Amino acid sequence: MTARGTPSRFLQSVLHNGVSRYVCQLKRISIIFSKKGQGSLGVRDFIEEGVVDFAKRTPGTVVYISPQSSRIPKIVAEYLNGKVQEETVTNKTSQQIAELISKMSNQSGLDIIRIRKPFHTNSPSIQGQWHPFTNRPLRIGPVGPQAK
Amino acid sequence: MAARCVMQSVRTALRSVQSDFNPKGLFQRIPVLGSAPCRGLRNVVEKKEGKTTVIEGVIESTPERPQPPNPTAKCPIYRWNLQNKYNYVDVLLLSQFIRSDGGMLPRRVTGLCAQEHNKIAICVQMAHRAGLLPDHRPRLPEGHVPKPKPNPPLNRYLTRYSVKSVQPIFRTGLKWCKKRMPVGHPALKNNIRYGPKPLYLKH
Amino acid sequence: MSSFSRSAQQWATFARSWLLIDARLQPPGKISSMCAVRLQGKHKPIYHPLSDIGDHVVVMNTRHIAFSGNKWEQKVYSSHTGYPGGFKQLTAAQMHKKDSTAIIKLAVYGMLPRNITRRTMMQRLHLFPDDVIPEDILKNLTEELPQPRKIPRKLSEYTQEERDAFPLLWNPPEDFRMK
Repeated sequence: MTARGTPSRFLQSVLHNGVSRYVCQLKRISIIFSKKGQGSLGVRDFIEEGVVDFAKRTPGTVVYISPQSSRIPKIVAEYLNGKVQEETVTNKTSQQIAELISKMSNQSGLDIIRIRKPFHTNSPSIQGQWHPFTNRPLRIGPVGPQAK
Repeated sequence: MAARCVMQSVRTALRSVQSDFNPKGLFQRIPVLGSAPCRGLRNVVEKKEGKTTVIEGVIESTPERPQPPNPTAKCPIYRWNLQNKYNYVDVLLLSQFIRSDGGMLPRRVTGLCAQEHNKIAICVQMAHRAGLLPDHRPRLPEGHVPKPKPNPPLNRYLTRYSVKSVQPIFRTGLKWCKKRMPVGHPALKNNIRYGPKPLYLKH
Repeated sequence: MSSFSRSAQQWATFARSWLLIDARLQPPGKISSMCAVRLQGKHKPIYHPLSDIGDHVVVMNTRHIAFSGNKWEQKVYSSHTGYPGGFKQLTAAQMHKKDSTAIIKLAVYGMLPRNITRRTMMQRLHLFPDDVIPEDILKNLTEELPQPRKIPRKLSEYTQEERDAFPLLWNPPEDFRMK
C-alpha cells in the first residue's frame, strides 16, 4: 500500500493536553483473566505485584480486575474520547504486561495512523523560527515606484 | 590593384584640392552628440599681416591618453588586447568606429582587420536595434518632421535580423526538429563569458 | 528566542508577503520564472507541497518588457475558441499591443504546476502595465526583487567624464574628415 492510500492526519494533541496541566486520557482499564488458565499466568503475577502500584500512580484511571472462567486474558482500555482498545495478553510475562499498561495510559486515544509532516528536531533553533524578514537587509522607507 | 591605387591617389588629391577650395567644410564642427570625444578637430586661427589675412586650421592637440598595451599590432582591437572582450553593450567602444549617422567607418581608415571589422559591424547593428545609440540616426532631410508612431517602440536586445525581414513561426515543428528563434550572433560566440552558463544562440 | 510569543511567531512564519518586480527592459521569461517560484512559496525554507505559503507578486512596467532576438515578430501565441474556425494565432507584438500584461501572464501560467492550486496562485499575481499601482497594494509591499538582467546604458546616458576616460582605440589620419 502506498502512503497516499492510507488514512492520515496531522500531528495533534487533545485540547493542548500537557501545555499547562496534564489530564490522563485513559479513563478505565479492565484486566480480564482466568483464575486457572495457563495463558493467564503472567497476568496473575502482575495483579499480585504491580496493579496496586499502578492504580496508586494513576488516580485518574479506574482499574477493574475481573476473573472469568476459561477466558483468554486481555486488557481493555477506554479513553476519554470514547475509543476502546483491546489487547490480548496470552502467555505474556508480568514485566511485558506492566510495560503495555503504562504505554496505554500514556496514549491519547487518537487513532494511530500515518502522520503528515512528521518533522521533529531534538535541538530547536535558538534564534527562533524562520520568518519572511530573517536574513533580509534592513530597509527603511516605502517600496515601490515612488521610492526611486 | 594598380588601378585601385591610382584611383585612391586621385581621390586623395581631389580631397586635398577640395579642402583648399572650401576650407569651411574642414572647419565644421561635426554634429556628433553622443559619440566619444571628437578627434581631428581644428581651430580657426586668423592672422592679419598688413593686407594679407591668413586663415589657418590648427589641429587641436588631444590631451594625454593611456597608451595601448600592444602598440605593434595593426588592428586597434589587437593593439588594446580586446579580442572577444566586447559586446553590443559597450557603446563607448562601438561609437569610435561609426559615423554620426550610425554607419561603419571604412576599414582602410580605422585599420581594423576584416574579422574584427565584421564583429564590430554586428555589434553596432545589435546596439542600434537595442536602442543604445539613440543619437546616431541618419539625418532627416531639412524641414521633415517624422510622423508620430501609434505605438511606442518594442524593447529588444541581441536582435540578429532586421525587424522587417523576419516572419512569425506559425508552425514550430515537432519536438525533435523545432524551428528555433535565433538570438545573438554566432560570430560572437567566442566571447569571454564570466558565468558558468553556456551560451544559447537558439531559443 | 525572539521577544514575541510562540503563536505570533507561527503567524509570522506563515504570513504572506508582497513582493515587487520591476519588469522594465527585462526578458519576460526570467521575470515569469521568478514569479512562479515566489507564487508557489519555493523560495522559503519552510516550503512543503501541502502548505499553502505562496507570496503575492506585483509586477510593474509590463508594457516595457524586452524580448531578445527577433521574438517580437517570431514568437506566436496560439489559442482556440472552441468554435469551428476559431484557431487564433497572434505574434508577440500583436499580443502585446492587445494586452500589455498578457505575455507575462501566459508565461507565468505555463510555469506553474498543473494542479488545482494553479488558478489560486494566478490570483496572487498582480500585473500592472505601468508604474501606477493602487494605493492599497502599494501599502502591502515589503520587498523589491532585484532585476535579472542588467540594463545596458545608452550612449547618451554616459557622462562626459566617462567618455573622456575611455581610451581612444585609433587615431584618424591627419587629413581625414570625420562625418
